[in-house]
Amino acid sequence: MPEKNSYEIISEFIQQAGFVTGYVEPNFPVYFPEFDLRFGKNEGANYLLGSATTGNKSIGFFHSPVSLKQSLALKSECVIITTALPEKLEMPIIFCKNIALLKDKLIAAIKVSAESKLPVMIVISDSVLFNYWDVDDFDFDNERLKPLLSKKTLDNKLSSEEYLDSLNVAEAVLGNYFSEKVFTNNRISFFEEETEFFDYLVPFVKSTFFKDIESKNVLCIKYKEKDFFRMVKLHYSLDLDFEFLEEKKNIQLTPLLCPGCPFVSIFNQLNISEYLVFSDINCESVYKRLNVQKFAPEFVEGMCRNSSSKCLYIGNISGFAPFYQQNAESLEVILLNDLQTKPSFLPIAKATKLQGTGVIFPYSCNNVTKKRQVKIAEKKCLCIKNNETVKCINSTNCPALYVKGDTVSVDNELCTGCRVCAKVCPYGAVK
Amino acid sequence: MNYHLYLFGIHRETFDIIAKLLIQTFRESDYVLNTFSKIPENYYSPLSLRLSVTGSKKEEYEKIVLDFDNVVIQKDGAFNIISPNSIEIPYAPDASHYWGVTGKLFKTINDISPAFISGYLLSAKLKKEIELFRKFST
Repeated sequence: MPEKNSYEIISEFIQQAGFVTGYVEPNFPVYFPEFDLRFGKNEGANYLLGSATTGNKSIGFFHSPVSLKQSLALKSECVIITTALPEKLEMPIIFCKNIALLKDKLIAAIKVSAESKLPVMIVISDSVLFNYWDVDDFDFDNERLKPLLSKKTLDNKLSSEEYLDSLNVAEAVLGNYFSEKVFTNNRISFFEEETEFFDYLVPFVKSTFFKDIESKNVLCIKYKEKDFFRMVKLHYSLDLDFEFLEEKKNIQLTPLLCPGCPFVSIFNQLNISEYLVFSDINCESVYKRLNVQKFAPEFVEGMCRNSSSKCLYIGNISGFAPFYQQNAESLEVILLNDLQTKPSFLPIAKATKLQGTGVIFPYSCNNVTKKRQVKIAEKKCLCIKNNETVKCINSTNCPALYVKGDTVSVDNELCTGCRVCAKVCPYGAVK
Repeated sequence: MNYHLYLFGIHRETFDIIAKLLIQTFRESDYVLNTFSKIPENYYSPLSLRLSVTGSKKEEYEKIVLDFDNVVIQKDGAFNIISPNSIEIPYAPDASHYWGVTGKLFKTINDISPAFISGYLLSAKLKKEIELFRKFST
């Protein structure tokens, strides 16, 4: 089959371009196990930058754009891939909202990073990351520098003038690579299908295509893009107004959570209704389906100070532990163990015998522990026969449970043995 | 005739194979094809793929949903939904039911060739799957 999916295209890009250092943020929609390093987003960004500084080609995958505080010139390429529009412009950015252009844009990113000695970000839209296209192999000249760290590397500081020069180099490369875009109408949206968008932006360098953009006077954008466009308007001093495109209704699907989801397990064992629950985990389902609020842990600690409300924070140890160990007083926590080592600063709870907060839950989203799968006693499985709501499926949203005839069955490949379904079954049919 | 095909499924490997085969089928049948995806909520949420299949200059598109795992909640007359429930085959953990749903699509759009799908199933020696595919495509 000539078609490749986006994961295959990106994987080939990583391999054939010769990236040796990589990082994938926890719960990034596509999973690269070789880059699952189990530390937080900011640490990941620094790791990539440090590696590219000495000559290792580096690539990172982030849910939202990350700040890279570059103080030394890079000796090798650094490419950051994200799925959200940036809140500020700190590095050249290439936008890809068409699967047909993914290969070209990946190649452009590596060329720009090589020539400008700056990290380059690629923002990939929803419509590209799980898509398909017929692409040939990438063709890279893989001459690699041997990474070298010396005093000279550390003395090679990037001054403001050099940074601006590098940005101009990036603009020149990108301007040549992407022929000057003409926007045929004023519907300019990254997330709306079948509209146009920028090919790239370079901080502090106002590309020539902005003349065409400004001539539109009013841009039609999606509401969720408004912060991005306002930032662009300020950054480049554009004379523009915005109107919002109508939101299209998507086809509604059954909500499914991951088998063994730690949040489902925790919610099932504690009296969660007593708490305001917060997290910063990167999983849309947790916020949409489980009434959890998304905030950074430090912010939540600040909000909860001297408050009479009971607040519970659930998040990965990798993103939370340093702050918690030094500061948290007002916050009850359950930390999800996403580390490869056994942490010792809080007691480790058993996954199915949680008795309170102030513990480490034994696993996180990326390392769910598999135990003995559940079995369903068909004679006791009566919800469907009695025309009742199927409680195990409705309460857990677990994809391992499915209806077979007039009983529920278990997909043994998916079941992790978390036993939440056993706890909610009113007939004791789940063993 | 033009179509918007909406594919939804939770068995990602089988979904991937069928998506590639359908894209190849439509391209070889001289349809103009554009594809649009969505990022799923989590690693087990259904994948979503829309194929915009253009065969004529008319602006009208028939909307067909391939709901491989009975995950579509809304049922309204705007879409022709093909699912295991609608064609009365059971859901199976090994995703064999995907091929029955795919077969029904070929019955619905009868000017596309099933050769790529049949060829794949035969070369992979998937007997149960090819029976299901043929049952619903002929």
